[in-house]
Amino acid sequence: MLFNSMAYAAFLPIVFIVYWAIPHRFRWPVLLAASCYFYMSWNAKYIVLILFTTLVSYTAARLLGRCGSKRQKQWVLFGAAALCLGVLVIFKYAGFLLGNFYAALSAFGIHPHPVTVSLMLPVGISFYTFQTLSYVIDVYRGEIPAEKHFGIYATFVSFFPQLVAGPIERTANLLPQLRKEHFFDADKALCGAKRMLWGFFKKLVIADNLAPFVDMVYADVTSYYGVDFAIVIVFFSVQIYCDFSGYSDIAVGTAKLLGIDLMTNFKSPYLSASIREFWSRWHISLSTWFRDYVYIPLGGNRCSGLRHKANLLATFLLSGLWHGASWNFVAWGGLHGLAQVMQASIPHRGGYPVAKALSCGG
Amino acid sequence: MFAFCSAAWVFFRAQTLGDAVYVLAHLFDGIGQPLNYVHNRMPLGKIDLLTYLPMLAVLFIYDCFDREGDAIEKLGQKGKVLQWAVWLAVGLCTLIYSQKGVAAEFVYFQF
Amino acid sequence: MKKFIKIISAYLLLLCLLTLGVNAVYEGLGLGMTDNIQKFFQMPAEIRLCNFGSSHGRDSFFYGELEEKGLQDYCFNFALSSQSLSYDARLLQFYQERLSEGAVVFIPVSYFSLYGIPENESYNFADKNTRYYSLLPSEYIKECSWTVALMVKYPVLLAGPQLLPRMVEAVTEREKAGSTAGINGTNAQAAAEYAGIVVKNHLFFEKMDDGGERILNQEELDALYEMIALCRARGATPILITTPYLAEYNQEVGRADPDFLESFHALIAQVQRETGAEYYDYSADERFCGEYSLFMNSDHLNRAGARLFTSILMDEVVGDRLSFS
Repeated sequence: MLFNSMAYAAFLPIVFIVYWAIPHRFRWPVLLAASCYFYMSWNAKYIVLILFTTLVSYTAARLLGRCGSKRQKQWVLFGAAALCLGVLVIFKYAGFLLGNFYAALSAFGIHPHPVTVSLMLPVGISFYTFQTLSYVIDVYRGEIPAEKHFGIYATFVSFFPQLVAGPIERTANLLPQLRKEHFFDADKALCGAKRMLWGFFKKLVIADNLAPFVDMVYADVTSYYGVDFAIVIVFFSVQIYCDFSGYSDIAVGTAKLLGIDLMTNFKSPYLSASIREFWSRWHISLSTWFRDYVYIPLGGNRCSGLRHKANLLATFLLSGLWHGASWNFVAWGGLHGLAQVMQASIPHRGGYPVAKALSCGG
Repeated sequence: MFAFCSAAWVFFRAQTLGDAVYVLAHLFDGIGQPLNYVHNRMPLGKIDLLTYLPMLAVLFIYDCFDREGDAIEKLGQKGKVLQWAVWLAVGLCTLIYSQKGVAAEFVYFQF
Repeated sequence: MKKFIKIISAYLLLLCLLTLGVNAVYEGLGLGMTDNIQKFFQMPAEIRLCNFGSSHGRDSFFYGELEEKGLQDYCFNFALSSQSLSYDARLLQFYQERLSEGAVVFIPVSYFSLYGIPENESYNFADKNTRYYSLLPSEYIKECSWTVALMVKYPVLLAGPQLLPRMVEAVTEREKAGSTAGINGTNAQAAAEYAGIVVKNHLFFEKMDDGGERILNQEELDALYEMIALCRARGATPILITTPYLAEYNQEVGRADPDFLESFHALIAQVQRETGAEYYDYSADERFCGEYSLFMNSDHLNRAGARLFTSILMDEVVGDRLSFS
C-alpha cells in the first residue's frame, strides 16, 4: 500500500498499538506479518520472490560459517549473488537487455524473430535485493556473524517502512535493533511523528503539485521551449528530491514510532559545495552501498590515476543503471560519473565536514 | 551545483535521450528578448507564484537548518508555541494542498 | 505512552478546528461553489421545458427572455460542462418528478457524446465527479466515496494549490474565468484555431482504442435510451438535438476524420428507428454556421447566440406543445 493512502492511515495505528501492547518476544512476528501484509497489498504473488531472496541469502550466510576454505566461501558468495541478482536482472532488465541484443544483431544485418519480454516490476526489488546482498557480503567479509534466527532475518529483509523505497539498511544497523527490547519513548515517537508529517508535506504539498507541470512538458517536449524548460527543470529537481526524501522521511518516522532508528538517506543535498559532497548527501544509503560493495572492491582510489577514474565512472554508470532499465538512466549516471572524475582530477586539500563523506578522492 | 544536478535530472526524467537533448538545447531559446522569454506556455500564472515560491522557500529554509545536525530536533529546542504553530501549519497545508482523488505513486517506485 | 497519545489527540483536534476555520473563510468568500451548481438550488418545482447536455447544452439554451412570459419560471437548464449522457440520465431520474405532463425535454447529442472510454476511466473524472455530491444522493453517484463526500462538505480540502490564488482573486474581485456564456463573439481565425485544438479532443482523445478504432461508449448510448424512456414514462417529450456549430468546427471534423459525421448520423438514425424519438440537427444550420457574432468559439454559442437559438427552437420545435390549460 502507498504511504499516502487511507489504507496506510488505518494500517499504521493498528500496527503501532499491537506492537507496543504485546511483549517483546512477539514483536518481530508482528512486524513480519505487518510487512508481509504491506507488501502483498501491492501484488500478492511477488511475495514469493522476496521469500526466495530471503531464503537464498539466509542459507548462504549460514553456509559461509561452515565453509573451510576461502575458495568454498567464494563459491557460496558467488552463488548467492548470482541467484539474487539473477532475479533482479530477469524482472528488471530482461526487456532492456533483449532490446539491446536485437538492436546489436540488426546492426550486423541479422533480424531474428523478436521475443518480447514484459514482466511487471516487483515493487522494491532493487532495494531488497541490494539489502540482502550487503548482508551476504558482510558475512563473507567476516564483519558480522550470520543470523541464525530466520524469523528475525526475514523481518530485516521485509521491514515495511523501508521495504519499497526506503533507505537500504545495513545489517549492522537494523538487525540488532530488531532483536533488542524497546521501551516506549514518547519523545522518540513524537520525533518520528514529526518526521513523518514533514515527509508527507514534502511529498503531498511540494512534489505532487510540481509534478503536473513537469509531466505536461516532458510528455510533449517539442511544444515547449525556453522558460518552460527552465521552470520545469527546476521543478523536477525539487520534485524528485521532495518525492524521494519525503518517502525516506516517512519511512524513518514510521520506524521511529516503533522505536527503531533507520539511517538518514538525505541531508540537504542541493546545498552541497561540490559534486563529491552531493553524493554524500543524496540517497546516502545507495551511494554508500556502491562505495562499499562496488567501488572499493574495484580498487577505489588506491589505484593509479586512470584506473581510479575508471572505477569512479564504472560505479556511477552502474548506479545509473540501477535506477532503471534504459539508456537514459545510464546517461544520467555517466554524467555524474564524469563530474566525479573531473573533480577527482583537481587537486584539493582537506576533507569535508560531513561525517559519511563518499571518499572517492585522494 | 544545483544547476549541474538539474541538468543531469533532465536525462533522468525525459522519455527518450532525444527529448533530453532537445530540452537542454532549447533551454535558452528566446532569451534575446527577455520579456518574451518570461512568458510561458503552461498554465502557470504570476499569481501561482504565491503558491509555489513559498513552497520552495520553506524547503530551502529547512534544508539550510538541516545541513548540519537535524532540523527537526533543532525546532524541538525552541518554544512550545512556535513548535505547535509550525507543525499545525505544516499539517494544515498538507491537508489542503494535497491532491485528493489520486494517490500519486512515488517516483522511485519504478525501481 | 499517555503523553504521546494526548499530544497526538490534541494535535488532531486543533488541526480539525483550524481546517473548519479556514473552510469557513473559504466558503465565506464564495469559493465553495464550483462550476455553476448554484442554479440547481433554484430549480423550479414544476418543469415544463428543460435541456440537458454538456457545455454545448449549457451555452445554447437561455430561458431568460422567452416570448411567452411566465414560461421561464418553468424552465431549467440541467447542463454542466463536460457532463456525460449517463449523468444527464441520473439527474433526470432523480428530478423526474418535477417534469409536468407534456413537458419538452431537449437532450443534446454532441459529436463526442456517444464515443470513448467509460467516464470513470477518464482523466478528469474524479474532479468532475465531485460536483454531483451536492446535487444527487449517494446511490446516483458513480464511485461514491465517503472521503470525497467529506471533501465536498468542506470544500477547502479540495482547494489544492489553487487556494491562495482563488482567495486573492475573490478578495480583489477580479473577473473570474467564467463558465457562464460569454458575451463576446469570435472571428474566423480564432474559430479555426480553436477548432483545430478542440476537435482533437472531441474526436480522438480518450476516444480510440489501441487499434486506432473509435470506441462506442455503450454506457452513454444506454443512458440515452434510458432518458428517452424516462421522459415518455412521465408523459414528457424527449427531443434529441445537436446544437449549432460554426462552419470551421465541422470543417475541422471533416478534415480530421472524413467518415465521422456519416457514422455519427447513422448512429443517431439508429436510435431514432429504435425509439421513434425526434432529432433536430442544427450543427450546420445556415443561420449560425457563418455568424461569428453569435459564438464564443467554434462550437459554443454566446449569450446572443443562445437567445436566438432558444427562440428558434420555440418557434420551430416546441411550437404549440406547451399550450397551457
